[in-house]
Amino acid sequence: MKNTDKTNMTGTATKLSRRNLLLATGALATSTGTAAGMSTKTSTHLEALGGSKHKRVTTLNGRSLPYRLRGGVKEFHLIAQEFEHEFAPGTTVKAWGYNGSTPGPTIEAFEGDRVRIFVTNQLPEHTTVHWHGILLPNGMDGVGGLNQPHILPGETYAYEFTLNESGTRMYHPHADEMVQQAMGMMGLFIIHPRSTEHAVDRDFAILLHNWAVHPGTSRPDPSIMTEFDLWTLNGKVFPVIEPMVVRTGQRVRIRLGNLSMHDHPMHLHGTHFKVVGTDAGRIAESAQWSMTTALVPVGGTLDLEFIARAPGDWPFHCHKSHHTMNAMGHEVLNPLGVKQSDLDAQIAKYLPGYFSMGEKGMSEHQVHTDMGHHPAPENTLPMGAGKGLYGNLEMGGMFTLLKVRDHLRNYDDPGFYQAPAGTMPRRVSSDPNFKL
Amino acid sequence: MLYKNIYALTLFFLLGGCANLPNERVEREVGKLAEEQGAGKISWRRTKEADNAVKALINDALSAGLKPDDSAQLALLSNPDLQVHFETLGIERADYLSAASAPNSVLQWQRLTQSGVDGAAVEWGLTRNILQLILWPTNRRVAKLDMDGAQLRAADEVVKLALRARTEHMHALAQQHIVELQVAHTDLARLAFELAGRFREAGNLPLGELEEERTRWMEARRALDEEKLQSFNDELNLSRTLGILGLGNELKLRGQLSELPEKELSLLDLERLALQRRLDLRAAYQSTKARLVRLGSVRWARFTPSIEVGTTTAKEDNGSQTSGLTASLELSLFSQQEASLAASDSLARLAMRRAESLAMDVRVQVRQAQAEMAVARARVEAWKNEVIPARAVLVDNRVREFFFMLKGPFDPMRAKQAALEAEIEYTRALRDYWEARARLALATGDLSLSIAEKMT
Repeated sequence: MKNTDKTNMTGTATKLSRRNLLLATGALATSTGTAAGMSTKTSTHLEALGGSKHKRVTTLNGRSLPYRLRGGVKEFHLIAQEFEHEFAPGTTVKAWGYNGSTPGPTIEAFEGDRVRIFVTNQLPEHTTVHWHGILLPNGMDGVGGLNQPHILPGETYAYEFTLNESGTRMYHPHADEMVQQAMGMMGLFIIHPRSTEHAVDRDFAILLHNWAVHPGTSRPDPSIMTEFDLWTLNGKVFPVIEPMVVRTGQRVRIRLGNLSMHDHPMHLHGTHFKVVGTDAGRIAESAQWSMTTALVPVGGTLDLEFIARAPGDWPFHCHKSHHTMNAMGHEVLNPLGVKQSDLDAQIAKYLPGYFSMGEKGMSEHQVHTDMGHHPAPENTLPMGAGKGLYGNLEMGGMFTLLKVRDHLRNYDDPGFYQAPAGTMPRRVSSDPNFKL
Repeated sequence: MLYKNIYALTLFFLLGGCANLPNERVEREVGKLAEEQGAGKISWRRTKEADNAVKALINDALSAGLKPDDSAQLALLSNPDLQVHFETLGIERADYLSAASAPNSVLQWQRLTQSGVDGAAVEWGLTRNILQLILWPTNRRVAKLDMDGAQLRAADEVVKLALRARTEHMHALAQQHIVELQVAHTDLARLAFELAGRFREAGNLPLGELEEERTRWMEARRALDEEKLQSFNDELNLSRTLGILGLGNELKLRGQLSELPEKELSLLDLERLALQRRLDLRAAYQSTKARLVRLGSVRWARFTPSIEVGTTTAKEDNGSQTSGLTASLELSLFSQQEASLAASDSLARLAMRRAESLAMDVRVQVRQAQAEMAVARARVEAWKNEVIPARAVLVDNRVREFFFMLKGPFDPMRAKQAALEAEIEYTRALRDYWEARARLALATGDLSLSIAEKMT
């Protein structure tokens, strides 16, 4: 399948007639083999969605699912399947997801739309899809064995319902749920309101997840309940997660869904935001308040909104510090303060290249991995990575940047922000006993 | 005329044959047989000078360090048990000389006096057992066959000793290497304990875990002591086999255990080889042959057990002298040598059965040794091709995981210890293989089977 994102959801789409658009999307949506040639680059469209003032959401490292219109019903096609998924160069897994990606493509529609969603099961076991947070007839709720028979391997089921509310929702299996979600089967379902009252300039969609991909393995381990190895935003880890690029003064929305096993306190630098919505819809303005960290609960969504106040590179990350790291051994003996370097040469007699680490902290880790001193275990990412203008970022996992710029030609990554003179800290002494 | 004939006959009776088999020839024969089996040179030390020469040789060899071949050679020159065996061979040689010599004539002399009469009658006689004379070549042949058998058995002892020395050398070499590996293993345990101490000093390790590391180090030291004791015993055994105890020389072993040979001989080839080459089997066949020859001679002489002829001269007291011939024949009326025949018959069959039994033992020994060798080979290949590479991968993984903060420093150290343990087991397996191969060499009588091409 060709890249549907680029074909249907780039700037060229606005030049197409509605009929042409539907023909194009319909032709592509009915084809299969979506894993092949799928781009994970975020579409950088600025165009309106369906002629309204609502912008399409930007799914970081992802895309939205195309649809076709048939008899007034928007038809989508999800294909549940296994494929190779890359968290960042150096780590791939055999994941399960939809249409070749995890999370699956974001479904976007409007409040009041009638949608028909075909679900083809190419997995080795049965599945279903639960439309998380959407109010619909009980039979369409997607709980295997309860509301419907399971969708057996090779079968295609059609779900059909009307979207009666707007907001950020999710979809995921309700069959062998522990395994299938651990393997990556999930996606966001964005229902835009008909009203343009709360339209924003930039609308980002992010699904939070965790992965038990033990070092040296290449298939997620569904049996893990709390000790995960990788923490992802839209299936990627920093620094592969794309930045959110906005213009100064723009109204920005970040939609967060959490289908991981942990709550995540998501923290944004450089501005205050308000939580304006949950997976039950828009929160009344009187109930909103400003904050910089919002706890996204397991199985819930939050919509954050703010005005991009000042230019700069502003981190957006989970504030559980282990969630902004990649795999590390939590049983590792604490090396901090352990004077042991005099033993290195003796140990290196038996383990060539051995040297002790962590006596003064763990920041040296990225130095060594970047310089190639440390060969990586099979299919394993270093704990921290990423370089900025002034050094190593020493981050991984759930970390990205909100890049605010006064002037933008497009929403491609503008590179690092160079702070103007006089707006940065300066070194005043190198004497550790410095006194005022 | 009669006197002339009597004198001639007397001369005949006095003539005979002496068997001649000097010790040097026996030593040469045994040495030649042993060398044909792949053993080194021997020395049957019968003089002080020979002892001194061997001592000088030992000193030179020890100062240079011994290879497996040197140990085998040294044992042949110096091992006291082999000298004991050679001296036993000397006794066998004496038996041979006795059995192979011509039967002696019997000289009779008697002086008879009559009471009341002066003077005495004196009678001289010389007799010889003609039957023994007739059987002399046969007896000589039997004695020769027995002596050959004794030499074969002596050569077999030489081969066994050479093999034992070589095997003990390899065993001691392997054990020395195991000690080296165990030293490294113990040193890693020490380092782990020291490292644990540093973690403890920093406040990062509970006391119990530090003590756990101490215990591991103590266990490693005890294991090292055991291996060192084994090494000491191995070297002591080898010194005993080499006969060099008390010389004040330190045993310096050179060389290393060879890798596995690429191919093994087939069982059929090995059994054929054994039946051709085993010296003890050849000795058993020689013994059978000797007993059969002996049986033939007993059968032949069954009805004429003893014929004695002789000459006699009598001088009467009155001065007259008479001379003449004598003859005596044992009449086989009541005894027809049944006992002797039965004994010879049984001895012949016994020898045959012994040879048959030994041949069967040889086949069993070959098959057992070959089976043990095959199992040992499989063990060596498993350690070398599977476990050691797997341990190397584990070490590499643990180091990578350590550097990626996935494992602590003790994990790669333990992985390395496991790798060293695998090397120790590999060394034991390789040693067992060569020992099994030495048993195969012993079973086949071909010392070269215990020597790998790459043996240094």
